[in-house]
Amino acid sequence: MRIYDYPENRKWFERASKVIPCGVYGHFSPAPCVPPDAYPFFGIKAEGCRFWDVDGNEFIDYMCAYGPMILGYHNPVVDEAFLRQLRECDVNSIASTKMVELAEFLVDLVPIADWAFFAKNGADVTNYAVMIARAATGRKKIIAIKGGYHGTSPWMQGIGHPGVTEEDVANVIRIPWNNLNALEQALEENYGEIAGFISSPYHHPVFTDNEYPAEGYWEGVQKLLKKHGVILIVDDVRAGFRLHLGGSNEFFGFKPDLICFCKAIANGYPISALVGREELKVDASKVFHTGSYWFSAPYMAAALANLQELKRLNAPEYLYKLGLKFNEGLVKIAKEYGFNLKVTGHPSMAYYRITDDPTLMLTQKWCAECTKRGAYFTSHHNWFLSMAHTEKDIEKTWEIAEDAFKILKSSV
Amino acid sequence: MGSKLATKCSQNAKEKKNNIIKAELYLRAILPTLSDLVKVDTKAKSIIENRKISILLNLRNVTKTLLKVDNGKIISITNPNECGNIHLYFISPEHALGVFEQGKLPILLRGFTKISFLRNEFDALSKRLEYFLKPTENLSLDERKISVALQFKSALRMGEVLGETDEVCQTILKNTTPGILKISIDEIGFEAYFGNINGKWKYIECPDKGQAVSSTLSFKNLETAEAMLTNKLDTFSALGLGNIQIWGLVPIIDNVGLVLSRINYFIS
Repeated sequence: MRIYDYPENRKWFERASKVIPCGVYGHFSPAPCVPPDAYPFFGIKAEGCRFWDVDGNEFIDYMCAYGPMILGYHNPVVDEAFLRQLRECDVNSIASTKMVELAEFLVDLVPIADWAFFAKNGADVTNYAVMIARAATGRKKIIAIKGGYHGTSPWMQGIGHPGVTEEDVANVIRIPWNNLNALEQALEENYGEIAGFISSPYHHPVFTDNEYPAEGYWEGVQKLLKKHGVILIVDDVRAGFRLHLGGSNEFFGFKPDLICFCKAIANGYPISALVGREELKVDASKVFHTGSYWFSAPYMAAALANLQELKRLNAPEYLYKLGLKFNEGLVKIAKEYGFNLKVTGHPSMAYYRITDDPTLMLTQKWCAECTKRGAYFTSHHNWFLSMAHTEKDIEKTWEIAEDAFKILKSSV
Repeated sequence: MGSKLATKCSQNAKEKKNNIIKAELYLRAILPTLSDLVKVDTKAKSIIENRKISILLNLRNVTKTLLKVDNGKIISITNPNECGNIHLYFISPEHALGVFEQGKLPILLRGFTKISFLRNEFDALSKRLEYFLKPTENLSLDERKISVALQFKSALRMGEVLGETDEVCQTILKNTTPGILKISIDEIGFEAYFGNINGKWKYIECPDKGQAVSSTLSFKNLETAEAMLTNKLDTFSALGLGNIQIWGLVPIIDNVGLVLSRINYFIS
């Protein structure tokens, strides 16, 4: 099996580091890719479930652009819808009817949705959701889950992080996941002050095992929030349309007031959406929130085509079954080499950890060895499968994983 | 009028609190670095060769540091049960800061006959420490190595003090998994350990048996470490370029970085 090296990637990174803070910033930065010398930083081509880096190395992609890619790179149906709308009209001085069509489609697709609003990134709509909750309740505090991620706005970052002030986070209370007592306590201690509770549908933090809601958790949450008049905001930016086309809350059986979507909504085209219940439509209309490119119609056309394709292909079922098969194979291979690979979260976007080492170093080494052989794995974040991943791709990946476990075993 | 007064009072309270933390950083983190200095710098060691004396630095109602000088060695003890041969007293954090930053005089409560040690040896030792902790560009290669090691040790001690005194560092601690970070610069043979140990931010020179390292952060060379200490390093770029290497529980590394970055808020 060929082991990749990355001379061109390094050259580009050197150039980048001179003119761009971090070289490559944010979630694409080399920091969590441990060790960075096992990873590519710059790509030149992507197709289906694969991408190629500037050194010409080919990877089966298990990060799917950290979630946006769901049908496969360069999906012809979505790309054609995008290009057709681009030829007709992109950004101009008035809104596009595509926006109405997309909103109507989402309202039909998502059971709790009576209206939809569009922006560009996940944080645009998590911010909007929080503003609506505050407008609707006349309260200022927000409860969020410890380790939960809802974008990089200052109110969602931790105290001590550069650029974040005490005032930014003063109205955010963090509680542990799956802990109804903690939620009740936060609501009682801040009686009449909590506007909203924001959470992902299940807990998918980084560097840590993912966790499903405990039996009765969401039911209990809804009961407590109703008692206290608090708005329930589900941040479905990462998992949305992967677990259930009606929102991941449908998969877990509960009904929030607002749902934030992004990532898989348009197969990589930049657009996000907030959907909500009728009761919050007037409050939503009162909050002024907009952006220079939020009315760009080709992205709406791409989202519409993507969602229609996901529905036609019954994507969540395919992804779930493929995920189960993929994970079962990986766990079995790990065991053959004496390692315990723990898989947590939804099978199609699971987090993987070798439990024989609590420091993650073994997991990091294994992911790095796989990446150097053409299966793009990260050790800090859940992975993603797409509709473009086939059983053949998975079998090829198992071979890579086995080779990497061999190396790992010989080094322990 | 009432609101302005309340704002002023709140600002004063905050300033007072910050001054206490700052004074504690001098007494509990920077001065104890003298014990490291005499281990690595022959010039510093020679200043206290054949001297046996102890100095108690006492900040009223806040903290005490005892420096025991014993024939080229220094041991530092925080809040000791014993008194020193020399007892220096600071009536307030502001008084202590005046002494450390502006050369004002502490109150000498004990040790009048040993005042020459303070004026000569201790003063020379303090200047030598400052020479390494606030380095100029004229340092030799060997001096640069000493400087970097001492700056790291001093910073990690400050991190420990901030963990006890600064609310921000305490909040960061609550969000940090227990674990030990090993910081190393292979080129100069430096290593130190810091982490969330038994629910506290703690600096240790070497972990005990059974204390496993959960993360590592190693600098490729002296230049990279110097750039980081002088806030001239883009650490993410350095990671991508291979000038810094990390392994293990990255959130611990991130959070230690956040704690150490708080030092600049108090001491520049």
